[in-house]
Amino acid sequence: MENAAKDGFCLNPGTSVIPVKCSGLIKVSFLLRLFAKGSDGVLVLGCLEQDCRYFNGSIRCGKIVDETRKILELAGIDATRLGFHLISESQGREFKKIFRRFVKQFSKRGRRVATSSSR
Amino acid sequence: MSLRQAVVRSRAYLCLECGICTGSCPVSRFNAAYSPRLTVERALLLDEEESLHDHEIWACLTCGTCDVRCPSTVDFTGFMRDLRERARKAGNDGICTHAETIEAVLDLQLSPNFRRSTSWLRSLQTSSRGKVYYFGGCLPFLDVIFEDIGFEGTKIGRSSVRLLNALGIRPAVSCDEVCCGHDAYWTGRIDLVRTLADINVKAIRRTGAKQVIFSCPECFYMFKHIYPDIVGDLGFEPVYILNVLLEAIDKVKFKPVNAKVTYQDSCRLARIEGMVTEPRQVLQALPDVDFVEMQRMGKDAICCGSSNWVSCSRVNKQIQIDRLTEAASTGAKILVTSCPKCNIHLRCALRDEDCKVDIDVIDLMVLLASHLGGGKRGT
Repeated sequence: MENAAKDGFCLNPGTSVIPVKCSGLIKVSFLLRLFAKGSDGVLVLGCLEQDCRYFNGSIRCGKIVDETRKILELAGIDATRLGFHLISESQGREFKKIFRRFVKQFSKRGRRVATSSSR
Repeated sequence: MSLRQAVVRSRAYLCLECGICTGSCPVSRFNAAYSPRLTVERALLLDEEESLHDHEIWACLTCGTCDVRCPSTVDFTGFMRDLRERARKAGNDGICTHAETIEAVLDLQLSPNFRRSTSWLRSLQTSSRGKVYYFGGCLPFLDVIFEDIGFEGTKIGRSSVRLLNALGIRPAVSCDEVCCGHDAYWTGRIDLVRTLADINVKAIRRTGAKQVIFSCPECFYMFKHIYPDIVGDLGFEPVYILNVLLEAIDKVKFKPVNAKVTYQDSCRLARIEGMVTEPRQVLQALPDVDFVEMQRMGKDAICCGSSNWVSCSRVNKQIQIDRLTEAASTGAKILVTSCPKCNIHLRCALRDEDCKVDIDVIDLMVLLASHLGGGKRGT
């Protein structure tokens, strides 16, 4: 992100960054709770698989994201609202592209709003 | 809820200190530090702060074996629940299992724009309104969480609806239904249960149902015994699926099973509802089934080691392995369960390295639906 910032990138308002030591530490419950709190989308970013310091952190994260997506679908939330990309720290431009594309889909499809539920 | 109220409500003052509860408790068999009787005693003798921070209060499985056997009819599990409610307020809320995933799914269900998907019931006959409602509960979510141990929650739900379809019933289902709150209730979060009860009862009333069918004993228990205290008159009747099946079992034809099977009684169904003969009648209605009983059956059955998704430990694993060994010693090749949680926990123990048992754990509904034949919908 710092590399992207040097390129003149800044986050959209309403975006919060949650740093974790390793993407393999993310749990299904973390991601689900972000949606439960009303996030429109969650973008999970991790290191490239071959760069992992702990051998299988990114692979593990991929499995967690898959599981979370299945639960989101069952809960009636579109699974594409959970993005997942593995990029290297130096890929500032790539990060910019991924982030822009991820945010754009919400400006097109709109926010998560209450449907016909009368609750 | 004060300690005094908890003692009065559970009639703990009648305790004779005979120790039958400890002798019956599946946890005490493997964890000598835990005893239902001593937990009550500690709560009364120790100062409040100390007793509420006791980690042993999360060891209880709430299986109710002690309640059934107590000669003074003390409601130990009820006492434990009230104690947990107080402990939670004091900051001792146990250690959630499965990295809190199940808790998080509950949080997600409570988010204001939640509408669950019913796509997992695709290709089955369901409707959005009707006199009969099918309550699926958390089954599809558990399916995703326990995929690694081969648990198929969706299949249990689908099998139940398929059996109902075979009887000519087209149940209503709703997108607004949420978790029944069984585990929240037993871990002392009564406010949460109130919210869930309110949402569920309103969602079911909107479908115009007069009868609600359950395939999960825990959901059934909540609707039958706890919800009326919270929301008053439900406006519909909770029915367990076995009763519906038993009424019309002659109408359905099953294929032969050709296997030796045994049955694991569920705590909620056998000990609380007293449904011991019903599942056996249904099982024996299957052609060519060789049904054998385990030594400890019915109200004396050993719990599957389920702990309301809090504090699962080596003790729970040992209880499960002990139970699986007992099941295998009957010579049965299939262990039939009626509660999805028994299914999950016994399956989990089958993968344990200390477990040398080879037995299939199958849900009763799945077994019945997979042997449907010659009925309306075939296999």
